[in-house]
Order: sequence, then C-alpha cells, then structure tokens
Amino acid sequence: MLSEWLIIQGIIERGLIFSITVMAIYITSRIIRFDDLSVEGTFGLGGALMALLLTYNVSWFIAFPLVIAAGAAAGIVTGLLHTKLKLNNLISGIVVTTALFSINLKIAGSNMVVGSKATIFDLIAGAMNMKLIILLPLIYALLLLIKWFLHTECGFLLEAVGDNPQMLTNLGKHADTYTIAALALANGLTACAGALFVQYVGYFSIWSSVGILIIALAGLILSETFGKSFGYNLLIGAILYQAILAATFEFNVDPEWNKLITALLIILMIAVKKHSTLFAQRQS
Amino acid sequence: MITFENVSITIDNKPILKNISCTINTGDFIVIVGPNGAGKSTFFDMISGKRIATSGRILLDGMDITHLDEQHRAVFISRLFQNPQLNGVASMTVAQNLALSNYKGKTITLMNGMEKFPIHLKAELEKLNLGSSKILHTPMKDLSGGQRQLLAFIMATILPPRLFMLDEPTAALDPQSATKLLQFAIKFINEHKMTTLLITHDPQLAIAIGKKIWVLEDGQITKQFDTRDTSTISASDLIGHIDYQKLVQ
Repeated sequence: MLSEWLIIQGIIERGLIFSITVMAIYITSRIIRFDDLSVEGTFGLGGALMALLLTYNVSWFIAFPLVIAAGAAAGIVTGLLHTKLKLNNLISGIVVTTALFSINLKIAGSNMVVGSKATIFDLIAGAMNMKLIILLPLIYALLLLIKWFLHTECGFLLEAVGDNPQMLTNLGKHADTYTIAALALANGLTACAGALFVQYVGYFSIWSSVGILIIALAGLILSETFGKSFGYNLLIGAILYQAILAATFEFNVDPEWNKLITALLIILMIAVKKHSTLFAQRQS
Repeated sequence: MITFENVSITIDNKPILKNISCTINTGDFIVIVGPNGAGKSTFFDMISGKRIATSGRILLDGMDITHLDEQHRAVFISRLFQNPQLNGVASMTVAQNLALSNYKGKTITLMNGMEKFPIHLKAELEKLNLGSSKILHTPMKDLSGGQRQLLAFIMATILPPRLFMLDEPTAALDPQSATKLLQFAIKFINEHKMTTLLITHDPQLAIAIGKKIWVLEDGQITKQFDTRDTSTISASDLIGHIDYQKLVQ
C-alpha cells in the first residue's frame, strides 16, 4: 500500500514540476502562437545554473531569481532573432537551444551532483519524502499568478499578438515587444522548472532536457481533453502524462522507449482529436 | 490638415506611388477610386506608416510625420481594413475586444483587462444589436461578417481619430450588411465631422457618399472632383466606360 502511494506521489510530484513547462508551452503555442523550441535548452539552463549555484553554496532562494532571469534572457534572444533578424520561429528556437547546449555543458558539465546542499525541498525539515507539500502550494500559486496575469491588460495584449499582430499596431503598441515578453516569460518559467527538477532528483544531467518540449506538448495535448483555457487542466495533463510513463515502467517497458512512447502518444491524441472533431461535424 | 508634398513610394525598384501632392482638409470626406494595382492600398499604407515614403514629405497640421512609425501614427490615424481578421482579435470576446480597443494611446498596466471597457458605448451597442450580454460574451470569430465590421468600426473610432481611413470596408459583406454598415458609418462620420478617406471600387457609392472623389491611376491622382461636381459626374468619369453588352455577345 505504502509503495503504491509512493509511486502515485512520485507521479504527482514530477507532473507538477513538468506542469510549469506545460504552462510555458501554453503561453507560447496557444497564446502568442509561436512554436518555441528554445524551452528545450532553457530547461537545461535552469538545471545547470541551479546545480552550479548550489554547489557554490548559494542559497536556492537567491538562485531561483537568477535562474529565471537567465531563462528569460534566453527567451529574449529567441524573440530578437525572430523579430529583428526575421528568422523563422522554429529556427530561432533551434539556434538558441543549440547554443545553450554548449553553455549548459560549460556551466555544469554533462553531470553535476547537488549532493547534500540545502534545496527548496529542505524547507520542511524531516519531511524529505513529502516533496509534494512544497510542490503543491508552489505550483498552485504559480498557476494562479499566471492566470491572473493573463487577465490583465498586458495579458490581453499577449492574446491579441498571437491572434492578430496588426491589432496591436492599430492600438499604437509594438507587437514585437509583446512577443519577446511572452517568450521571456515562457523561458523563465521553463528554467524555473529545470531548477526545480535538479533539486528534486538531486543532480543535473545534460540529457535531462532532451525531449522536454515533446514532454510538455504531450502534457498540453492531454490537458486539452479537460479544457482549453489556462487552468487546472494543465496540471492534470502533466500529471496524466507522468502516470502514462509510470504505467510503462509497471509493464517493464525499457525506459529507452520513453521518447518513442511520448511521440506515439502525441500522434494518437491528435488523431483522436481530429477524428472526434470530424465526427462532431458530421453529427451536426 | 494633411499635406503630401511630392511623395513617392518605390517597392523592389518598382514605383508604386509617383510624386503625389495633395491636401486633405479637416472635415473632408474623400472617396478614392481606381483600378486594381493603382496604388490605393499603398497610399493608405503610406498614410498609416506601414510603408515609409521613399521621397517627399507628409505634414500633419504642419508637423512632419514622414518618418513617424505606424505605432505612433495609430494614436491619431485609425484604419478599418477590408479583411475583418485585421480589425479585431477573433479568439477574444466582443466585450474584451471593446476593452482592448480602448487601450489606444493609453499606458498598459497590470489592471484587469476589462477595466477600460467603454461603458459609455453601451446604448450605442444596444441600438446596433451588439450590446446584449450574450453577444458581448461571444468570441468575435463567431459573429457574422457584418457584425464584425460594425464592431470594428466602433472599435476604430473609440478614440476619435484625426484621420479615419476605410479600405473597402464592405468588400467582404453581402449587400444588406454592407448597406447597414455604410448607413451607420456615414451618419457617424458626418455627426462627428470626422476627416475620412474611403476606398471603394463602386463608382455609384463614391458619387452617393463622397464630398470629394479622387481617382488614383498608375500611382498618381489623375482626377479630383469636389462636392459641386458630384451632382454632375457619372460612373464612367471615375472608372471609364464598361460595355456589359459585350459580355453576352
């Protein structure tokens, strides 16, 4: 019974951490409609920087704002490549992710163990196995904060820039500024998720960020089964994805197949969605 | 008053507007007609700042705005596009679009996005059947083409512009919706004495509503008619003679 609960707890915890990346992907692909591949690099950047700072005895409390700022800076670079150099959005993201791979290696090498350094999960002394107690209010607060932000005037303009950049020009605002701001926000969040993940597992690995975009996308597509707006559905989607991965462990599937399973899951979800839309159209 | 002094625009080494010199006086209602490719939309792009003049000067009440960017000009120049997609945010509700359009010329804050909803327009919206709670909460993409352009017109004039440009606003509408939009627009423009430019392909419409008519051909304003002429000019003066009989011969 206890071991089952530990498995479920692990699923929820990992799901909550990855839900931050799902929120980031929601902002880029659903709000500003910019398929941003740079999150692939900024997840690693967040992890590498957090690992390095912790090993230099910098408090996680101080490290977090630095990590988020670094992620946001990477997002700004992606935005500038796209808006100023007119690079295609996919290419802008790939360029930044490629550059970050080297930067992350230089920051933390291919692996860096956090070891016994104090992390955010040590906030509750003696409750090392209850990381959920830290993650749940933290992610919940983050979700509410972003949800609130998206309903502000600034959030309205982000929604507008994704749908019709000309509308911002009509209002006398610069569409590029809002595109860059959204990318900074999304990549800052992703770096934050990377930093949390490193503290959660206790080490940084350069390979942990490979496929993050697809993991987040899978979470996002799953979440859309429960609702299309920015809300709890994003958390459910991310947790559900982790549950599916955990189920494959239970069936003794080699973890090396994980990425293939994720890709197939995405194809399956999109195919089901397309089919159900067609079905609904035929019914009406 | 907007004055154009020998303004030209060249795109990819091809001259699109050629040495245009003209004046738009405050309160003018000018209809611009001309064939496809004459440079009508480029003329609007140049006024709105989407395209910067290659040579010449544009003066707004004596102030040189030739190199002012589109965002800065948008505060005093409004434009209604032919394509309803460009006039609003399709995924946002009617109420959100109205609030959004009231951000023009104002600082963006972290206040609730609906804070700037133009409550003073409620009665006007009711009259146009756009004010009900149901419609206000409908995403703009679910409105009919006519409703969308009507809403876009209201959004473009929330902050009264010093120059209002309408680029074939009825081109995508059925005749009934087009008439409804034009009736509302012309009444509104006349009541507010709004300086207006309107592009149309319809010579009858130009004659019916224009206080002045400019004919744009091959990047130049070739003919100008003022109020006195509109009672005597015919469609063929504006677009040449079209022999429909030839179609069935």
